[in-house]
Amino acid sequence: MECLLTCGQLLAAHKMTYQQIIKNSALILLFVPFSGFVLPSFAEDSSGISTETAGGLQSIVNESASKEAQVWLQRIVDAPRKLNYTGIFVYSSDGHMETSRVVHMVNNEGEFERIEVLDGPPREVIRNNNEVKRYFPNRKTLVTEKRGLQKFFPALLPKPLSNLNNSYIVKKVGRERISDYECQVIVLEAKDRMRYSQKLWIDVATGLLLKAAVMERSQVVEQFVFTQLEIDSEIDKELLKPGYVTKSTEVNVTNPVISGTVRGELGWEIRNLPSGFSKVNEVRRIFSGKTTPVGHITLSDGLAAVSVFIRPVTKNDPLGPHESYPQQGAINIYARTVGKNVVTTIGEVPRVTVVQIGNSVKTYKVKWKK
Amino acid sequence: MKDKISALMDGELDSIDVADAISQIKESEELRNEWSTYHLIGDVLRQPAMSPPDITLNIRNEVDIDPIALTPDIPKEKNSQIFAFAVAASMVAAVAAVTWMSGQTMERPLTDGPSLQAVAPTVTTAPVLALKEEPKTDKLVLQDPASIRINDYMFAHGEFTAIRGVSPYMRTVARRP
Repeated sequence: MECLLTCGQLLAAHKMTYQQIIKNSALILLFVPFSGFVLPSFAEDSSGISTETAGGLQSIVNESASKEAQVWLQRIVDAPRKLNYTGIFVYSSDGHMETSRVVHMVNNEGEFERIEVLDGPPREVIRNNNEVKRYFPNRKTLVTEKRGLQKFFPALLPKPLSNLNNSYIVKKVGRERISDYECQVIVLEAKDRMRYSQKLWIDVATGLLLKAAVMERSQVVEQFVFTQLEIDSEIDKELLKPGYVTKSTEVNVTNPVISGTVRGELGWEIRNLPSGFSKVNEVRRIFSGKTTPVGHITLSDGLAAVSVFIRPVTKNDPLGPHESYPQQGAINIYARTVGKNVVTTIGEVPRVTVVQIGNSVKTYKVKWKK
Repeated sequence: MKDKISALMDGELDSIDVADAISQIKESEELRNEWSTYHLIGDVLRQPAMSPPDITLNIRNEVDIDPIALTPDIPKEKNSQIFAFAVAASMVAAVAAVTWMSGQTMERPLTDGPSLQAVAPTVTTAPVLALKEEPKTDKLVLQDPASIRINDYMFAHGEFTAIRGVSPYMRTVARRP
């Protein structure tokens, strides 16, 4: 409330010049840190304008550094497609830490990977190119999933890292040592509150990402780091086999893509997209154990992706008790009902962003084609 | 120099000073920060829509997201404690409580163990309704259908993440059995 009063006072003086502003800097120092908190929507608008006006100079200053940083980012994307490695990494978020072992192999048949969680209930992910198996030995469950898009609709995948400069200030920072490897540090600083910043540590020799922190201003939201790593080692294929004997009673195949569609065919659209985000694609999926297709619209700002899932409430798939989900590391989830549909928005973006996107999902043709 | 930056922004510098100021700004990160801050301040002050900020939408969103209704796994007394706290506290505290509780609720249904069944009689009818949703096998009934669904969604979404850390499945594995 204190802040609102301050706003009112400042409003009266809104025609101040910058020189006057400096004289009032004590007042402003009080005001600025609070504005983001109490007035989120308003702060978003202002930062949007701010990037536009400051953008001219900023882009000159950062252009060459940014181009070089982009090359480093591309190396991150390319490295796992070419390298063998084994290591231990620690993933942490919300004060929770988890250690996992990863084995990654590339040969002429493609990419193979096994991740084994070493803390808590045993879990494993085994990936053979587009097929991913998740093992939950305690539950005696195996879930098999096939990545459809990469194989059947490669053109539908977003071009990662495009238009980054609209939403981030990309900076090459310096060198740091991680797990005994010399790393280049790249910072992607969010230009507004609608996305997180990222700090990336990239192995200078191979381009492999050895540490990554997702940040909301100076706060680390989520982080992973290799604590032990061997690159380009000979991989024993035995290491890629599941560590548990599978007596699975449950085998699910999920995630087949029904059809790629062009704009409008799902009958849903998202108005009022946060700045920098644009639609990447729109598909219908059928998940395991379900019969009704779920609409899936994907948005991206070049780095962060947001998915919007739209499922009709049907007899076989009724409305859940109250579909609400807390933040998971960098991932925020927001569900709401629109008519007889549940719209679930998921993304590695701040909550304000999934909420704005989720609330902007509109239908103009509720009837679903089967 | 600060005066110069603000004069530059007000358009009060001559062309030589402008070039000089810009090159200095290019050189110094501190000055660049000043530059951004002044712009932010200016934009904030010039906002036409400053008059009473509408926080109803934000409150509504918080209420929408509030995960209080779905906590089949949490002991009853703990639950009501949190609820009472959230209601009584200011908006700030409520947000904090929701965030804190989130950690509690998600942790449980996602770890192993058939605890849902054991606690079932004490919870509201909502989870029972949810259980009917997945009548496939006993194994699956033990899992919260909402978290199964969200796992599916998370997985489908993972395909679109640009920079995938150690693996596109880093998050799939982490705390999402």
